[in-house]
Amino acid sequence: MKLPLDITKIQSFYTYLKSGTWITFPNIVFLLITAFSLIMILSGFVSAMNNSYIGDGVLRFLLLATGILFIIQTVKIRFKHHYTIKLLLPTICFIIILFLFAYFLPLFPPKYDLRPYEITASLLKFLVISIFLILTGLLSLSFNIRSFFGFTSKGKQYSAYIVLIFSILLILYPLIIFIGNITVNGIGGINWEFLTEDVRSHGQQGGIVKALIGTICLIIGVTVISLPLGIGAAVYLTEYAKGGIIVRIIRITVDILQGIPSIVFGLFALAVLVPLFGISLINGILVLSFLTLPIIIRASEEAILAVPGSIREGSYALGASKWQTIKRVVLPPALPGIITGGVLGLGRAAGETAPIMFVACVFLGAPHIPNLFAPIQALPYHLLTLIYYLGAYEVEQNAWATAFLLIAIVLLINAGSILIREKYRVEF
Amino acid sequence: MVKDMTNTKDIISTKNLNLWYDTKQALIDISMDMQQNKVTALIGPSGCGKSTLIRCFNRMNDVIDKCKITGEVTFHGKNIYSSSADAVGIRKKIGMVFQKPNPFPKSIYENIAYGPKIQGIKDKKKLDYIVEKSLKDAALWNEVSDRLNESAMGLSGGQQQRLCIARSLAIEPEIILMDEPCSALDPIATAKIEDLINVLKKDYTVIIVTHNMQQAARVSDFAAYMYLGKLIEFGKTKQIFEKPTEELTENYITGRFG
Repeated sequence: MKLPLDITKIQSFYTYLKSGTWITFPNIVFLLITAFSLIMILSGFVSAMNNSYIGDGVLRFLLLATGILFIIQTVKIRFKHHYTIKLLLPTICFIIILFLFAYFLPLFPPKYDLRPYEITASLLKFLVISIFLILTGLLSLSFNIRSFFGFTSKGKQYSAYIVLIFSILLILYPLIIFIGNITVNGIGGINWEFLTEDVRSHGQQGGIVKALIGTICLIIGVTVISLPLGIGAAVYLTEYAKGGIIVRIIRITVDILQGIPSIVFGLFALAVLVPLFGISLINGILVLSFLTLPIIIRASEEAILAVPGSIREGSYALGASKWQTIKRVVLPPALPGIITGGVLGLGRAAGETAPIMFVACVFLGAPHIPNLFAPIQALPYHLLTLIYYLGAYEVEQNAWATAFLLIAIVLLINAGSILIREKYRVEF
Repeated sequence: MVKDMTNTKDIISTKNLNLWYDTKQALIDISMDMQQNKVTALIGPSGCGKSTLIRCFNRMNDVIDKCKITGEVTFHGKNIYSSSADAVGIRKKIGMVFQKPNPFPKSIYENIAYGPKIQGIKDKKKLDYIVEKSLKDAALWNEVSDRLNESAMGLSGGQQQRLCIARSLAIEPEIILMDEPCSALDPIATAKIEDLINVLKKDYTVIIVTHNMQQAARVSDFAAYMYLGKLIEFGKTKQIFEKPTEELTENYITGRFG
């Protein structure tokens, strides 16, 4: 594995550090501002996570100190390089914002009640401050780097790089919080009893085994129906029906299907399928197949179109017919992409609640052996019911555990699809 | 048009062949006869229609939308564009090697065995034999015999092109069409393929498109010079290059344009 760092570069940097020549006034200012910015960002993250607040005094000190350091840096640069005021204007504005922020900080009450304005949310100080802190920290880092490198393209490049890295962290952060939260709360409820017993006593005791089986049945049923149909449709659209109005109509229909809200599918199933089959597993399978079919068609189309035309021509030139070419030369390299799309669609189907809640699910009493024409229990619906029961019964631990199980299944399915894609991917 | 009067049979001919891409005419009234077991080169400046013409010989232009053809292309006396002709069957007798090597994303063995398997050959021993023979005929056997099950995509450009040639040879065609087979390759790989063409013509007929005049002079017995969709001159390579009868041909040969 190649190391991202160059040994000689590290060595020369180390000698540079040891020599002490780096201890100059501008460098110290730069480092101090960087340190303060990082403290701002970090404390923003931490206080948002812990519902805590770093304290007015500390914050004011941070902001004022950073502002003063920026003034020093800007003045020095102005004299050293004779930059115009126009170039330094953003930095000056930023310094003013820092001071304003520091000044108005204590005026913000811990909780700003908006109920007089008919708004049920209330602005919590720590949350607002943390967001401001993170943004301010990022901005000050960016300005700092730019000023230090003298507004050259090198400085802009570094500052953009740093801001991008932090943006990625910013995006990952809620995701990690979300998954972490559910895991921490839910994993305590996962035990043998939970996984192998049926639900009892309004979900307060027993487990989700029937719901798990129901979800698995749904996944299998949807695979059996939508995978062959979807791949077949994609092959037809890409290989046989070239252009023409029919293809455009089919494509538009597929796109529209993909955008329909899932509750509408539920209503359709309620009106059409329930009179036919009652509340039963087959309704759930059919409805979820409608949902996943567009996803599979899209993914399969993309995968098939990614196979270059030169490969097809090579096959034709050897005397293969169209179907032989599709079967032997086009589909095999497209298969990883098709399977990835299929698996992702299935992952979505596993977690859908709205389409199946009226037409296929019950909370308890489903038959022990899954029957196509009888109701099933399903994990998303189980969770929904537990949430309804939260006030009335002691179901909180089980609700967390069900949620954890659900996202564990979805994450496993997605991880599986990534593994398949990476293992069998063909580079052209 | 100069026609050679020796006794070898003409294997493939065109007669009043015209081709349109949508409304643009790309081939204008082409009539020529190509002889068996000889190498015929199609030469001319870019855009003159040489690739279009060679793709007519195995009906590869069928896969292109909005392509209209009038006229005849006769293979052993039968018109391959007649309504009763079978395009798939024709391509089993007339193979093609493309400008950019296009091996399938499969193993080397599977690439070569693809053609025979399409034809229904399932016997493993027979397939092994065909694979070995084709790779030897394409002068690639020595380089890949120990890694037949590795992916063909791992070969170098020159090796991939020889693989594509071996792949065409595996179905035992009568004619091999080559559309600028060396233009994506370095000089050493090019030389190897040119040597190969000289050997192949003993058993096969080769029609090669090339924009490289020196290559045409080295490799071909007959040459056809095309310009703007028309066939300007056709005859023995020696004669075309030393004593062209048409002025346009002479201009191209001497490098005045093209």
